[in-house]
Amino acid sequence: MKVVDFFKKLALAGYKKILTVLLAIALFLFETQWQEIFRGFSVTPNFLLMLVVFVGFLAGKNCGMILGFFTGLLLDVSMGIAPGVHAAMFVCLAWVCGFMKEYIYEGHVLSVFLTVGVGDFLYNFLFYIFYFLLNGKLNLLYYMKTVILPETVLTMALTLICYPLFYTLHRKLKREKKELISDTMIGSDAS
Amino acid sequence: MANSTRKKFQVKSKYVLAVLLFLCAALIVTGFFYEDIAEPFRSVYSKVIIPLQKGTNAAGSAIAGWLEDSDTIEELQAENESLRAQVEELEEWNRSVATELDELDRLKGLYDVDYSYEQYDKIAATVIGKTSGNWFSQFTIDKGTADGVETGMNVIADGGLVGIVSDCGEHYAVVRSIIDDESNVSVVVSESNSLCVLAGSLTAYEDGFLELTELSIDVSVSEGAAVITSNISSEFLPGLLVGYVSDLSADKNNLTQSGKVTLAVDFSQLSEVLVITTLKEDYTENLED
Repeated sequence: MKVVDFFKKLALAGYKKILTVLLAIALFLFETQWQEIFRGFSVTPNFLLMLVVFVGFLAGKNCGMILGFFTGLLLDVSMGIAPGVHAAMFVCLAWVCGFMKEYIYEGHVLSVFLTVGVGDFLYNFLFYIFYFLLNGKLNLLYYMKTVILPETVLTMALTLICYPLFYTLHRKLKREKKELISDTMIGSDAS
Repeated sequence: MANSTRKKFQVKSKYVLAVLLFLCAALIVTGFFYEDIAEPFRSVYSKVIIPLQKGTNAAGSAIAGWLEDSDTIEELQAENESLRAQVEELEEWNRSVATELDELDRLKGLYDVDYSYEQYDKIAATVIGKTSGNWFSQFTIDKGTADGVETGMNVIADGGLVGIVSDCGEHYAVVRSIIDDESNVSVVVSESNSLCVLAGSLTAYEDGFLELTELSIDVSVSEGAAVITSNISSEFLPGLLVGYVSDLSADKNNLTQSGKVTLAVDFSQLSEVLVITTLKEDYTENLED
């Protein structure tokens, strides 16, 4: 009986995290297939940045930063650039989101919407500086118009759809977890 | 109860932040000196993500297929008719070309040049996804070092140049296409053999062409002249077809002219590519021998 309880608790502690990791991988794969599926769209939204913001907001700094670190590494490796570039940016972003969580009600869609917007903009802007400006491509307005703004707008628009879904799922899992914990506690008391 | 015990294990977030940022900085800095630092990440990526990506690529293609299947029967019939007409036209053209081809072979023999791709060994690969983000025009293929692909190999499709392998794992490779903003290909216009540069551009390709620059003003080139990779490029093998010149005009400095190049490859429909396993360095070394 104790062994069963142990595994139950382990599953409870871990299953939200496992779900998040699976979701991150699924979103990454969806991102790489986006242009195949929507051929008319030349802009791909930044789902992984969105997920890091969501997790930072809902689960706090530590979870957000660890997720940001690994998804960042995934992006770095997939693009074939130095590992650590995206990771550092995502870790900082998750820290800021976790910091805001302490002051803002987590169901507030507008603040998440704005954070995703600002985060995506800054991320792309830094990317432009390190990979394009330093390579002598000074035409910021051109890149602003063709890459940075379209991506930011699309990602923000999708946040409005995705965040309520994600938030509802988060609440539901939280409630289930509470119920399960109280169940197992009663069970262990009885034995 | 459970909550209070969990709280004890909570690490202060500023330490987590410091450790993670230190790790990132260490990775970036060591990455400058030892490129192999990415190797463990590449091998994990190759083993975990690439098999999944192969699966989702099939699913993605299927969804794209459904989305496009919405054509009505009338549209398909009309298309069929126009295609039939086109087939006849092409057959006619093919016959005339076939006769010219013999002549071409003969002349090539005289000149002792061989621009066909048959001289190179090739590996067929499937495109399994575009890389994330909108900054790079890169895609991932399903062949890697285990299949003999190496960084720096040229990639072709439909008889035209597609790009170059920029990063390589065990079972995948990242290909940077020539329409990428970072890409600059040294090319010659076949008629005149004069050197010029084909610069990749994020948006120019959306309009259907790339920009050809630094062609000498003294050279006159007719529309439709083939643009092929030059001998002097350090990365690209010579003689690979890139596209066709479509619009030339003199630059303001009156020394060079620039124009547009319509590419031979349709990048929006890319699904199968060929990786040429000859590297440019080896090619030049062989020539010297």
